Amino acid sequence: MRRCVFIWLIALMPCIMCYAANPLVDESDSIRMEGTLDEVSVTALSSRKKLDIPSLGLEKLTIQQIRLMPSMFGEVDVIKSLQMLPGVQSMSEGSSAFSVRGGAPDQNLILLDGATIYNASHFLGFFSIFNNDIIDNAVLHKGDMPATQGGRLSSVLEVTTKEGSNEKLHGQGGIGLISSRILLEGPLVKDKLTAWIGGRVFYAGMFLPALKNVNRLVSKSRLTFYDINAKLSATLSAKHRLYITGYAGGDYMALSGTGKFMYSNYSATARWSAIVSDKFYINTSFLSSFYNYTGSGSLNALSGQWTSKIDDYGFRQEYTYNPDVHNSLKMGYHLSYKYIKSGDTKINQEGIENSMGISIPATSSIETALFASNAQKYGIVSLTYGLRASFLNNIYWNLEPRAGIAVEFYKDMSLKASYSRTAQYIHLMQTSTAGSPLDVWKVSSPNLKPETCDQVSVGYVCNFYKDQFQISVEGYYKWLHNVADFKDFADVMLNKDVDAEILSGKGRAFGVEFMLRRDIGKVTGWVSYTYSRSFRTIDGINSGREYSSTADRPHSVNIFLNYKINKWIDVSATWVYATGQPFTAPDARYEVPDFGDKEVIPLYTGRNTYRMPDYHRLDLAVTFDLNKGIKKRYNHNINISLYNVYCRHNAWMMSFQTNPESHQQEAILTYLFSIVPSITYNLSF
Amino acid sequence: MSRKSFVAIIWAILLTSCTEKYDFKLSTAPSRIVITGYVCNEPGQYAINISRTGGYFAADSLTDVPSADVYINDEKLTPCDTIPNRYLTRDDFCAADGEVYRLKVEIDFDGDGVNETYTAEAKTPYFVPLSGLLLQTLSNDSGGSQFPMTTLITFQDPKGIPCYYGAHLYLTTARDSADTYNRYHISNTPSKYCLGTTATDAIDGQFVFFPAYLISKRLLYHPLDTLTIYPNDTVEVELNCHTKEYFDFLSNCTSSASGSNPMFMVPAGPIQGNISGGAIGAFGVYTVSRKKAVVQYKEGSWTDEQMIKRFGVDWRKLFPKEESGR
Repeated sequence: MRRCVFIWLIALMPCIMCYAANPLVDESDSIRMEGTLDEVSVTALSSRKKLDIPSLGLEKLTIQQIRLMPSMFGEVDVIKSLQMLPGVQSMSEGSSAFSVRGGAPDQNLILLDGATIYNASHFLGFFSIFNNDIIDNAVLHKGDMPATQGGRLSSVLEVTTKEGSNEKLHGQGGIGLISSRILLEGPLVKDKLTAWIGGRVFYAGMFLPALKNVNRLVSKSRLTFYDINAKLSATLSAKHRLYITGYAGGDYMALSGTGKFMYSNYSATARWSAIVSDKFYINTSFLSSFYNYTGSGSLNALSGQWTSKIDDYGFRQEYTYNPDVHNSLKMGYHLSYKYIKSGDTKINQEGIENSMGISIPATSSIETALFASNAQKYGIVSLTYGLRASFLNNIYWNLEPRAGIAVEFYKDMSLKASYSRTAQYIHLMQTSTAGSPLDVWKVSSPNLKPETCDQVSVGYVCNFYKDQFQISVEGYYKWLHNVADFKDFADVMLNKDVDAEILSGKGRAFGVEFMLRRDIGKVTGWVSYTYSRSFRTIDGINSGREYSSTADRPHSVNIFLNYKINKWIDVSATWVYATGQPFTAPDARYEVPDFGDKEVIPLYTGRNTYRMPDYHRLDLAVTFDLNKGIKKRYNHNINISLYNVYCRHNAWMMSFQTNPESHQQEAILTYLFSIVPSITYNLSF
Repeated sequence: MSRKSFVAIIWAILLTSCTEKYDFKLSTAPSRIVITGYVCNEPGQYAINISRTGGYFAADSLTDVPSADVYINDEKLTPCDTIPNRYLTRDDFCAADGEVYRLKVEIDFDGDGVNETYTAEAKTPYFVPLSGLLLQTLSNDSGGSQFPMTTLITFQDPKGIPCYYGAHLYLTTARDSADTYNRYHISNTPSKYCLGTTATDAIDGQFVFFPAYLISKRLLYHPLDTLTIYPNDTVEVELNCHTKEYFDFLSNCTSSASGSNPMFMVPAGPIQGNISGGAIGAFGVYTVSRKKAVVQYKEGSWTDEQMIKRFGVDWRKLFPKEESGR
């Protein structure tokens, strides 16, 4: 019976998600392909391994590490965890939108098993779409990407889902104050077919009716989101495997029965892995990703609807050839077709025959990439080099060379250097830094040229104390070309001439990242410090003078410590500090009395010339294993987290206004959270 | 307290953002001259205002500028007796269709003993008449109050002509037992003024219906003064077609005044205007077309106390109770 239910759930999956997409074959996949097709669990990027990888800016977190971190609202979140790493910054308080090495949020390519996710956030950015139960690991390339990857300037975040149990039916889940989740996994056909399906639902909105005596409008509103993930792994033969993964997630908000707003992500991957010989493997993938949002409402005789969507279909083939123990050659191609309908609104009024609306013409594009790379290792020297050629609609093309070298010049010490060039053909036309769902993506056009970035990095990595500790220092300098920014008072929303609201120029970013990390022992974690600057120079903005980008936050410190008190109690703490975010503030005021009454208007003369107050926050968490450290058939624990322990009022927004009583101008700081306690019960069987 | 209520209150507290006054240090840009004003296509007296910029947190007077000579098409304006640095046209000034109006201001703003000249010009834009005004209730509750409402305006946008629309809102109170009519200009500042454009061909040439203003039972008149709307009050909407430069100026002012918001943040910058010589501000011409609608009485929208205050104890004679089942 249990298996029937499981099969039924899996069978239902394609109805829910109607596509297939595919992940890139990463290093861990290559490991899996060697010899047999047995699963090899991927562990964190070990301290030893990090010494001889020529790539710089490569960060990897396992789900075990992520789960140890304190969480906001009790929701363990992979993106929030990555924001604890050097060079990665949240764009605003509690937001899933992030900046890597001074880049904009749209310069990060987020992949879920290889499929592009266009909006990785729920509930206006406070939660990411990644249910921690289904994640195996998350790898972040902070700029020095391998030639097999591309399409964004700043980073690639690869979130890989777990393989699933081939032994017996397993399950795990969690119950929190505002959301719960569950995962079921097991073999459908022993040693042939395994599957899992997981879901998460956010139900804070169901408590809103209890507010009917406080706010009737709010009490009649609805608010929820959900995620469903599923994966099938089929062993077709000793040399062929097939993986199908899918994701469906959405947000639903309804205001007092008058209007509703929904946005959703769907993605799917179908990947076929074939071993041609013991030196030659082929991975073939079909990819798809869909993002859409709809807003609709009716008020008496007036009704309206707003729809927008992105459809992304991809095909990818990658060949891996290992001619000898010193070389590992990869080559392949990637095709991507995108259809973007960035805004379609319609308003109807009873009694008026014609409807009114704005329809932004749909655009479609074909992005193609050919790539080849080789990883070499001779003694103490490790090399990686490659070339990616990318094309957009046969109009734009770029050659993107990538190269890196690591020299383990002394025992447990290595020096690294790398160069990479990246190109980006799709841009996010959004002024929000907080992860608004109203994303408008725009493919490069004659007025909006592709952005490119050249990055050089150097680094030093040293392991010490029996590989228990690792210290690393990385420096980078980035030159950005055709980097886009909004002109003053840009009109972005539903503007069919949105190109005219954007200006292009050049940018630069540079920084140094220090990190001391310990992955073994009772006390684990890291301490990192980042010095990072990011500037833009664009004609028409800031009078053509160089200005700070919104990601220019010179100093940041991240500390994460976990202490395993005994077999059943883990205590962890994080502390983050960052220089305040640049923003535009008025230098003067003037009055406009034209319509009768004087109104004080702030006068702005420069872009991002001021900074919000510095950001810092302490979070604590304690996890109690209710089986007191003994593995049983049913394992469960309770996690208690405190977010923002010392109630720092971190600025989410700074506004300037005239006090209606004193008629004096004043600055108003808006903060979102004081201390946020949460408790989550987690279960696995 | 039930568990649901407890969780709901906790959730509401967590999600309710808080604000606090912050001692923020700003630099002060050098003072610049500000010139604003407009004329319309209906007879009246119009004003050109001259002032200067000041430190954002400073409490200094912004009208502390020297006197000036102000001209529109070589016709000299006269200084206003009651408001400093305001210059008025004759009281029957009327902008003609398609006419170009040139503003010239001569003033020694920098105090070097020599007058500087600031100029701007604007051409009367295409006149678009307002077709209709409907006070529409924004509620799906059949038995609910009629508030809030929207002023749904309708008009025909001319094909192929870029139009820059704005709409003013006025409220005229009904005569009551103790008072005469009062006409209030509700959209009395740029950020309370409704703007919309069809400059792109998004709705070019369409018959436009646009919910210009949202009206609750109380309308903000001044920051510390609100007006209560009663039945038989008259709502009046004035459709304006602006010159692009003045429209952009008003739009920039509105964006600047609304401040920054991480969710829908528009990057602010220097204000765009059409005054030459480095002055801030704009001079414009706009057309005017008006429609009125009377607020209807609806049972349950006003309390007895409110109705007595406005119409006296015999208010039921004016608004007899509707019989059920009618």
